[in-house]
Amino acid sequence: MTLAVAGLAKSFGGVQAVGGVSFAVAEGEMLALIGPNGAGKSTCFNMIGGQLRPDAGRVTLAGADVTGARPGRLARLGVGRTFQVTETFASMTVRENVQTALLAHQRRIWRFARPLAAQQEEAALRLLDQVGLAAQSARAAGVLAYGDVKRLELAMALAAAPRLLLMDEPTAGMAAAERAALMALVRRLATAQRLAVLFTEHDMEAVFGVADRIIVLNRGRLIAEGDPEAIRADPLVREVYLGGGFA
Amino acid sequence: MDFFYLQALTGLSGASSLFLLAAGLTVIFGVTRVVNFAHGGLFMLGAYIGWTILTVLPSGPFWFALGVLAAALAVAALGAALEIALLRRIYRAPALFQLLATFGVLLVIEELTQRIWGPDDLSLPRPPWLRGAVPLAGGRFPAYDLALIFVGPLVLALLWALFTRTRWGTLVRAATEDREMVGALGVDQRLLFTAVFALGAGLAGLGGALTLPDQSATLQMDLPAITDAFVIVVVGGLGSVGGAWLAALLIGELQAFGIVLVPQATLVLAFVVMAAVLALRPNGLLGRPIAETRATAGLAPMIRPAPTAARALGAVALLLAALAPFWLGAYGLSILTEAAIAILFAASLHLMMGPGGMPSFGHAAFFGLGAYAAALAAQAGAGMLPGLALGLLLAAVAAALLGAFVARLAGVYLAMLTLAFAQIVWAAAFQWVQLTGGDNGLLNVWPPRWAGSPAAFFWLALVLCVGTALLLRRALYAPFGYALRAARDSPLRAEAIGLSPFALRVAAFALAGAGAGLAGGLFGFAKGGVFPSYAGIPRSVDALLMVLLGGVHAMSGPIVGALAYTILYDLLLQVTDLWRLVLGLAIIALVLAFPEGIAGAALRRWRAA
Repeated sequence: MTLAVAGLAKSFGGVQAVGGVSFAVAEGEMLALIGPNGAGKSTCFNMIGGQLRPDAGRVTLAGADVTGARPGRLARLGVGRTFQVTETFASMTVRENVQTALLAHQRRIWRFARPLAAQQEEAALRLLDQVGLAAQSARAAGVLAYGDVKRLELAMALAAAPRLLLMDEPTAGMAAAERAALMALVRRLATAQRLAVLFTEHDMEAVFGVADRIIVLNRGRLIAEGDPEAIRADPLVREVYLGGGFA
Repeated sequence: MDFFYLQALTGLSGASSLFLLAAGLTVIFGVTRVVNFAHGGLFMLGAYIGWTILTVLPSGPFWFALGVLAAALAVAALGAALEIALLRRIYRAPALFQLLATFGVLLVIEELTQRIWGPDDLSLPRPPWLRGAVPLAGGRFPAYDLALIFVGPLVLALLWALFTRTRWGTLVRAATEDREMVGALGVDQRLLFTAVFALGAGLAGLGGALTLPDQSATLQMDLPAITDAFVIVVVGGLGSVGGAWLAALLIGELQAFGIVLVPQATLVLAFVVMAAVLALRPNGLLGRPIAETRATAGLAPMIRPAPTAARALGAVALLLAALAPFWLGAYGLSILTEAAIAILFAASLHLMMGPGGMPSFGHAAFFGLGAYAAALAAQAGAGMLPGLALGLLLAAVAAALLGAFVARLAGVYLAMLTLAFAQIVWAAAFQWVQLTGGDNGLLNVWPPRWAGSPAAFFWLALVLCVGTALLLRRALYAPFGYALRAARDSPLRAEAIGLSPFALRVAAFALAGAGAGLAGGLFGFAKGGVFPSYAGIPRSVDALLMVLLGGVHAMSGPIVGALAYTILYDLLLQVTDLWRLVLGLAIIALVLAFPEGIAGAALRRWRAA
């Protein structure tokens, strides 16, 4: 499912956070959105994910206008997302988190009799196995290590069989080896299930290792777009990052 | 036109009274973030202390002003003592516990006031200078009310000067913005908070003393006062003094004209205004969003299915209860019937408060609605069971409507609005005499013959109440319950997986209302009558205490809590007539001992072991 963004803009109290950003993500493609702190990455993300309403511009999914749609509607249209600050259900086990996501996707939430624990157990375990969390399925989600919470978020996003995955800093807080494994998993899923993936990331190794294309945001505007090689060579991008830690 | 001017003036004077009543509450909330339930008690103390002082002082405007100020100072001193002894220990506790603790203080104040001044209303002898009227706009307007019109703006101006023109005021405003930062700058916050609390209490005392020429000091003035103050503060915006004045003006004028145009609707008028304002401006007229500490999300412990041993214990207890008519007398059965009703009442509140994350301070509203609807239907000849069904339905619909208004709001607003709603129901029951019988209530609400014996009625209550409570519990283990908890734990994630936290919360309101409505209906038939107190604040607090006793995050909490509370309460009534004092002190002790909740404390102990 193709995501297309055209002329997206948002201001907060007169300060323009994002001004006229346009790009597209195709099926099976991983597009990285990078930029220095305060460039407007999260604002962009939240406008696409329905947490913020854009002042101007259009967001379309497979050609259908979804500008300003609520997160719930986007979820039903096949958009899965993970958050920069992790958001899981602390009062449930890891498995129940995924079961809840599965049942929400199947619209079987408004059921009042059969215990949730006995529903979609295997599907939940399969998803947890996919992200490497199966061994921890019975633990409380609130006590997981940070990297594991990130993986749980991914499993919950995948529970809705998404066509588009929005990942805000999916590997923040993870060890280097874990990061590579997680990004490799997302890469495999993107290719195998024709998933469109849009992600932000601070870890440049992860970005240049897996992204098909990269777009660079600075002060709310797109300053570069291209494959990793082109971005690496772009003088403007180099200037913005001042060479600091930039591969 | 003259009528218009006179009503407008009446509205202005009413606005002054309302502002004085609410100003202290909003000042205290602004800095300490504590919703001070005891405010109504301090207001009442202002009136009583004012009465004592004014009756010994010579007559005359000068002495009157002096006496009123002395009363305000006395209440301010009491406020300071209260802050030092209690409040400063619970600033970090959840908002619900602060509300409960200050409600405990209110109970203690009520009891002590009655012991000191006696149960009779106290009114001030009205000397000629207080009875005077001024010819105005073709009529005569009471001179005292005219003077009162200026007191509100005067106090507003003084508060404004205090907060913007003095170093102390600057510090207070800074503490309102960022408590930690002010502490880091080396300001003694404890002193600041004590002073703010004393100021707020003094304003309440001033407001109370100033009502004396128009009204008597009575033991019943505290709860209506706190409800009015809550409405003003919420409409104006929590913590905003200017907003409180605007809100007082709006509601004062609306009441002055409303009482002429639609006399029956004055009770609901304030609530309608509040609903309208909050729909347009969710933070009140001049309020800003409250930086809410993230509900209980991080704290909520994981919920597991009950262990087999606990299930077995529950089954044995249920079996023993079912056989109770064979081993228990009529009195014991009536206590057990009440306990069964209490279990459903507590379980329904627990559903919205625990898994739903929405603490209601007015759960008795649905209890009362269910009771009145069931009794009225039965008296109209519909029979008991259809009456109970009607009560359940009415309470569920009312709860869903209220939920649609408040489900998006933060904890403090939610608690205050549910309380205000319950007060409206209570006031309607009290004043709509043709329908409800007013204070006398509806009498002769007895079950039909087949359920007339204590044993038969007990079995009926057991099946309906415990059965419904178990159904609610089952819903909490079903996908619905998980979705509800998901919306509480992380609204952001819940939306991202396609859930609607709003719809889930409204549904939780409706289910909770239905449970409480059924409990209330049965209670009416158990007691043979329905009274306004069924919707009163004390009954809402009963439900809260049961849930907290059992533990908000324990699935069996409401059942255990309701049983313990009913039995303790019954014992307490038998041994002492100072029940308000004992209950008040018990609540305060409970909050001080378990500031993070009983379940929280138990969990911490369990983890440490």
